[in-house]
Amino acid sequence: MAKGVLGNDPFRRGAASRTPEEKQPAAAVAEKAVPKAPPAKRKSTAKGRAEASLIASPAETEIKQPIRKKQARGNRAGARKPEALAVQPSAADDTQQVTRAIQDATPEQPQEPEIPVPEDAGEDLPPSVRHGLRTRGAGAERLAEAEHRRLLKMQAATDLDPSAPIRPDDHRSPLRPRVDSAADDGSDAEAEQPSPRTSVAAQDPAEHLPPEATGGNRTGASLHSVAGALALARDVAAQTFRTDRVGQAARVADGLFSALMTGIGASGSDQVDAYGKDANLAKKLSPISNFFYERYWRVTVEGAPHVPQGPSLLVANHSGAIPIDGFILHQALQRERPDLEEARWLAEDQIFHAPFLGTLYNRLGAIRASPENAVRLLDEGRPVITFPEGVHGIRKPFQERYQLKRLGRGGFAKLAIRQQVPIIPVAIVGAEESMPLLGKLPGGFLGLPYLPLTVPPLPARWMIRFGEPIRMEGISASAAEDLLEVQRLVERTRESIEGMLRALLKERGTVFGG
Amino acid sequence: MAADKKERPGLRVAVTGATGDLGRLLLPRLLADPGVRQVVAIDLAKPPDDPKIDFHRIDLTRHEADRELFDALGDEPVDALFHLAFMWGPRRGGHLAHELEVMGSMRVLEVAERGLARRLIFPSLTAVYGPSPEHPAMIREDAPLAAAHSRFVSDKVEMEALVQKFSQRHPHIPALVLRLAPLLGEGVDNPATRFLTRGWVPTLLGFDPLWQALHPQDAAFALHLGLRAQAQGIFNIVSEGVLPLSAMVRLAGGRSIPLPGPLARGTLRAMDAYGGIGVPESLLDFIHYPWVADGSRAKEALGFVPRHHARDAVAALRRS
Repeated sequence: MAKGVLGNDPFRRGAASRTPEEKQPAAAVAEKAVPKAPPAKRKSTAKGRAEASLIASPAETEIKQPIRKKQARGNRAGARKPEALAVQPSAADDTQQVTRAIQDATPEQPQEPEIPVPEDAGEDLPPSVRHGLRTRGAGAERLAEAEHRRLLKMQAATDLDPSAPIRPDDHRSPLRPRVDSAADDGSDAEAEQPSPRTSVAAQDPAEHLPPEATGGNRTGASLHSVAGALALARDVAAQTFRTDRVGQAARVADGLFSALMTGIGASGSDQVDAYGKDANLAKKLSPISNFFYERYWRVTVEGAPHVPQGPSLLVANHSGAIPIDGFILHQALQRERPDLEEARWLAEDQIFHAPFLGTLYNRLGAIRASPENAVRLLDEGRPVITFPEGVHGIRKPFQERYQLKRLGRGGFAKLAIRQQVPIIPVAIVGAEESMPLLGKLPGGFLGLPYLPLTVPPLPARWMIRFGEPIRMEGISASAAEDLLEVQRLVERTRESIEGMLRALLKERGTVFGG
Repeated sequence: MAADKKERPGLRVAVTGATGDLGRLLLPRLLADPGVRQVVAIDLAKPPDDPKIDFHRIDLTRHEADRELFDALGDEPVDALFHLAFMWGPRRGGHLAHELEVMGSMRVLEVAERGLARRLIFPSLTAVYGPSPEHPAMIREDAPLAAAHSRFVSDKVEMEALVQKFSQRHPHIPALVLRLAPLLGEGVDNPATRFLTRGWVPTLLGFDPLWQALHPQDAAFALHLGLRAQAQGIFNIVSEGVLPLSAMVRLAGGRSIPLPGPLARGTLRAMDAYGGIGVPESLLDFIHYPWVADGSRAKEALGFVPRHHARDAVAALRRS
């Protein structure tokens, strides 16, 4: 489950992470419980409205903390009124805080979902059913009463002093007043708000708490007004996060934040595999990587079935001022060939040991390019992605795009011969244009050979083509020392990649279109 | 030569540094081991009383130490000698540490050379590989060691070289070198625990190398296995799993403060100079590059399967 917008403590359990799908089962339950205590609703609605104007007084800011949880339900119906909906979702802070309130309140009565219904719905039911509903309501009422008494005691203790300390365990207190103001704004707009959104709220029983407000346990109008405001704010937040876009934005922000924190080395996960890959980070980043993969770069993959089961050495052209081709190719394999062992890509030292980028890549699955690491990965039966051009591939200026550089010193061919694994040539088109290298800035202060001068990722269309495997049939493992044999293999691989690159470039009409 | 297959009631085992960090871990296991008849404990401090323990106060840094060692071990050779007298925590004045770790090891090897020990077990550190950008993802035992690093590391490297030479001369006396990952646990004092138990831990901005750890129980288990192991040579003794440094700091209850390189160096130097608690500046490279050792040889040849994840080791540190 994705984390809150900011990904750090106070907002960690934010409702931003709750997707509408997750709530569906509960909504189904709600349907059964539809006809329930309509009179209570009507009463409290009126009350909630009347009291909406009271809520901003400082003394109440203090009380509303303790009473929030249960008392809020007393005014639930009023809170659910459309007035709540006028609050602008743009106030991201507020919605966050409100979201927390929802999260806190929801688990308490999950089996008592309720939905606003026509006032007469309850009358149509057989008496036994109605009785059942009422007894459940009564139970909730008793609960609420006990809570209420406790709160009153607490209130007496603090003597309504606005500066009095709030419950020590309540770290959200500073945020309360802002919620109020949001609710306050909302009350003005009540009249002109259309009702359809209310019905959206009705689908989610989590926000709708049982109607224990039968009048017996009401003591202070202020308590109720505050509670009403809170309940209202809660619904606002629910509405806001129901809309996919905000939820999505929250997840994206969360992913970016975790990537940033991981990159600077401040919050490494304690669940990494032996090579340092953090599966959770990849999951968190998936909204972003999916967007880039599917919608921004529109990656098309051909020839994925060419990758055989078991170990194989994927040899691809390297490009992009900041090389992301390894990650994308690894994503492509994951999508197209989920049957294979998880692929890893080898990153040249300049990238692997680069601050931020190297750390982040390692958590995403990159491994330092060295024969020893490659052998280890191949022994595990994985496809291993290599870019033999290394840093020369990403250092070439934009006008030399798609011109294959020297394929290292043929280490990949030696490795394939020695390990007797097939080489799969791979051509990647699009990476050059999405991050063209425009210039090089001195990067010595960061321990880098240079700082690439580039643009933010451009929406060039990506094409990945896997070539026919070059198998080691007829080449014995001892031929790894035979320079001629190695050279022949390197040339074969090179021709294959160049051929595919030419073909792809010809097929591609425009760089960004299509 | 079947060193430990004699028809005798049990093994006679000598332990130097019996009250040190490792000695404290190993001693209870040896005492509980029914196959061990006697433990010759050699240290400056007195180990807890036990009928099995034969305690000798010997300072390995003194030049008479070799004669005292001969006297302590007596006429018959010990079945195994655990040389655990090392200074795991860096001290002011590396001279004493050098005397103890290198010269002390030399004296212990002299004893073995005279046939007074049938088996030798030396602890070392995975830190001897040093932090290097050239390391593979998992370092095997045959990887080259750090050429010149801090005293703390180079003394261990020197000691290992002595053991290596000894093994070449006396292939029939099994000598085991256990390269331990940073030992984290209650009451354990070494640069790693000092570094991690701070509230605010300076790290390098943009770097988060993978670290390993070793739970004290696993360390004791590995040492104990050395008593009867068929294999000899060098073994990496590491916990299961790896952790990014920042995760380790967090699990230890601290907060990592990523600082840009030069600033981190200065901070570490200041901590070393004014903090009074030795966190050497040379640690900087260890928080820059990965140094993950491959524990598979110990698994196969020694039968050492770690029972604790690195997370547990850090948790053990936190409890302390």
